[in-house]
Amino acid sequence: MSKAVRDTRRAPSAPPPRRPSARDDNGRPQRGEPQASLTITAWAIVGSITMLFFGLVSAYSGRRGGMDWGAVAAPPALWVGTAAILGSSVSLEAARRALARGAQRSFVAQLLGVAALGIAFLAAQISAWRALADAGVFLASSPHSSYLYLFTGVHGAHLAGGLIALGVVLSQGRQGAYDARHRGGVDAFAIYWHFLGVLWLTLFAVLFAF
Amino acid sequence: MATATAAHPDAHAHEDPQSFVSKYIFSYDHKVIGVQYLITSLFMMLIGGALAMAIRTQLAWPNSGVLKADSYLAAISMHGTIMIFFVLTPALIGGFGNFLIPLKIGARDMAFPFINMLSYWTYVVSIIPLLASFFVPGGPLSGGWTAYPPLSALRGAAPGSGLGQDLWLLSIAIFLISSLFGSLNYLTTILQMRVRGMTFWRLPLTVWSLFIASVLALLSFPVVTGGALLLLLDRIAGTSFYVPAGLFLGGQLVDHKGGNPLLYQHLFWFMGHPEVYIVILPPMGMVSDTLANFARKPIFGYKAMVVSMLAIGVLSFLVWGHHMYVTGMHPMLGTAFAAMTLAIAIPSAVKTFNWMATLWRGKIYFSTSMLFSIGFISLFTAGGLTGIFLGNAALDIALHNTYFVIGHFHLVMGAAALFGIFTGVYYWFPKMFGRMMHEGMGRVHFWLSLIGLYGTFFPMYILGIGGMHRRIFSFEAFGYITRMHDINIVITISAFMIFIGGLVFAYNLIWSLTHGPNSADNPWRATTLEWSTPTPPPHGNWVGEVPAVHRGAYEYSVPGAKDDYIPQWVTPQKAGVVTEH
Ligand code: HEM
Ligand SMILES: [Cu+2]
Repeated sequence: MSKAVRDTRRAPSAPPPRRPSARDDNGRPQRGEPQASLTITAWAIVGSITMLFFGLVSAYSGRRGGMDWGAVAAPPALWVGTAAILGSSVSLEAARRALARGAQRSFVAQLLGVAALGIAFLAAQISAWRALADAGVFLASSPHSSYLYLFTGVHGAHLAGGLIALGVVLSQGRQGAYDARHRGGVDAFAIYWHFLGVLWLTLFAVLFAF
Repeated sequence: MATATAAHPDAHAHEDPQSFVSKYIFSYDHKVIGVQYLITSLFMMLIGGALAMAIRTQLAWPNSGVLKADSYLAAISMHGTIMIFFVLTPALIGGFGNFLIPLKIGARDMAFPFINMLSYWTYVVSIIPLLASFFVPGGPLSGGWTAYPPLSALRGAAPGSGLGQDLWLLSIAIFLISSLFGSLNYLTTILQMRVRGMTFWRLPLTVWSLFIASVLALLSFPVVTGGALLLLLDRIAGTSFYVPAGLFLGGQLVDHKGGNPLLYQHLFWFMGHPEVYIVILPPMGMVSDTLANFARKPIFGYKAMVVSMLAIGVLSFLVWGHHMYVTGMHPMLGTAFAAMTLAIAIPSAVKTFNWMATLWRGKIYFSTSMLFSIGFISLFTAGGLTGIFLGNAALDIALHNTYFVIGHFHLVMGAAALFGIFTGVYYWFPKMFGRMMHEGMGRVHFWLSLIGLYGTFFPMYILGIGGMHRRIFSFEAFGYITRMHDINIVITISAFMIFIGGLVFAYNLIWSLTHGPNSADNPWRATTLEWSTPTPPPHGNWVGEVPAVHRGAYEYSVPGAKDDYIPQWVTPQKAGVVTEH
């Protein structure tokens, strides 16, 4: 797919510019460009995951008042994870700034930071699970514990998917595929990743604050 | 994903496929994928239809021994699942969506051809566990296509509640992923890849309908995915999301506590109702296009058609409770759901009247495709009107789970959507394969289907009012149903007519593929962009530049124009008349 067909209508002596701009003069992605397609798709995925959790959180709130709720205290590791995911979003914004400045090396370095913090988040979630299990709290122990495992698990699975996407962005980025004008893949990834951060804060609050 | 970013903006215009495998099997070409989807779902239709024949034989002659009590329930559950998820959805969204969207908006392919190919093949993969469940101990799921817990949540609850139910869940999960891939593609493609001049208000209604259906799928399928996940956890991990406390199974107290089976119904129908619009919106769009063409008139009230589809799309998320009137919901809530449900009648009626106004004083050409389009309006109305009965909580409490419901949804969704598929196949077959279909066989197919469908599903209203409930394998235990035995025989004979009609259709497809007369590029003298391509369209769809669009999609019989149609790609100078759109 990466080997695009050359437009045969162009005279062979005038090859198309290698990377024509995907943005109009106002810096907005132009219609018809794969750049903008990626961000639209990212928003659509965000909408879809939002609906998934809309369903799950509705189910949660219906069950919340039950006599057998069996509330579980938040394992401290979850706070560590929260800090990690917030840090990863900051790092991601720094990466995008660097890209806009043309600082390719710092762009890649910051993205590596995102990856490290994302992995740290997942590690924190897993250690929270282990802490729960050590305390004898399992998936089927109580309604609250069921939802706790469910929300963290489903969110974590989406975050793991995000890490795979980040791997693609990173390998492209190291080859210099992105710059200030060609950043559709980075923008799309950023939409997805920031969304997962916001989603985690929401779930964390839903699980323990109300 | 990121590959496309790095490359040329034309990165979606992939290279011409060389080998047989990359051309016809793992093809990236939206047209091939569309045809693959259609053929696969027609094959599934054969299985779903054969099950329906077995069900009907059993119901007319309960002692014929075609099905037993257990296998009857498995047969209806698989019939429903196959027809909805593996026939209508993939044929309409996957088949016509893929084939038509790029051609109609002037794109060389989908935004993400690779994801598109993946979407088709995940659909194929999802079929495997479903069909495999026929051959496992206990057979396929038998709790109905809705798979309500606790039947579906407890392994021992019914013969199919074991491995059969597991395979069903697996299959549905894969199917939902496949349709997610598809929806993402359609949405992005329609937003991003329209050719110059193709504004939203110039889109053919087929494209609008597929766009709205994709949004509905994107937003409703995840909710049932969540619901299915909870079901899976209840089955394998001992959680109690759905399974209530104090349930006895085979004399044994079940080890779950405090779950609520109604939660599943909410999550299921939050998808289930939009799903019926996912399958009926594309036929609505396609029929709008064919009616305008074969009546040689602009579609009546184009903008009203779009707005009513949007309204249907929004409302479809607010009515799921009408499937749950008998669950003891608060009467106020029931009233709210009833009001919302009846509100859907308004945009639906707008559409129906607009179709009829389109026909009014048209120069109608009764091609087979047109016959199916008119039949669509008829079936949709005959089924839709009883939706007003069922939407009223007070009436539904009496009619719920009777054959009245079976008659209603088969006409409004099953039969109407089938007619949408047939309309589309007869209309676009020439574009797909370069040959015309046999009109004579088409007519036989049409009349067998129309008479058969009415003969099958209209009497079901009477059965339902008479009290015959659904999901029973033999009425012999019920004296009051036995008195309606004759009606059941009539229904079964009619059902066989539909099936025979389907076989005629299948034969027609094969005959036309090999013997059909060659088709011109624009055999129906139509206005939309797909007819500006060579027939069948080459890889990349247009040779040379994609024609720009200069007008709306329905310029038929424009006063002062020399032809009775002005295609979208004709410039104002060439057309000789100035039109407003
Ligand atoms: C060939 C024509 C068809 C015939 C004769 C037919 C017949 C039937 C019958 C008799 C039942 C009721 C079984 C029972 O409740 O005991 C049924 C159920 C059902 N049918 Fe069809 N059907 C046909 C086509 C379709 C189509 C095109 C659809 C797609 C919407 C469809 C979807 C369903 C569904 C969802 C159920 C409910 C299954 C359940 O109760 O779980 N059918 N069909
Ligand atoms: Cu409904």
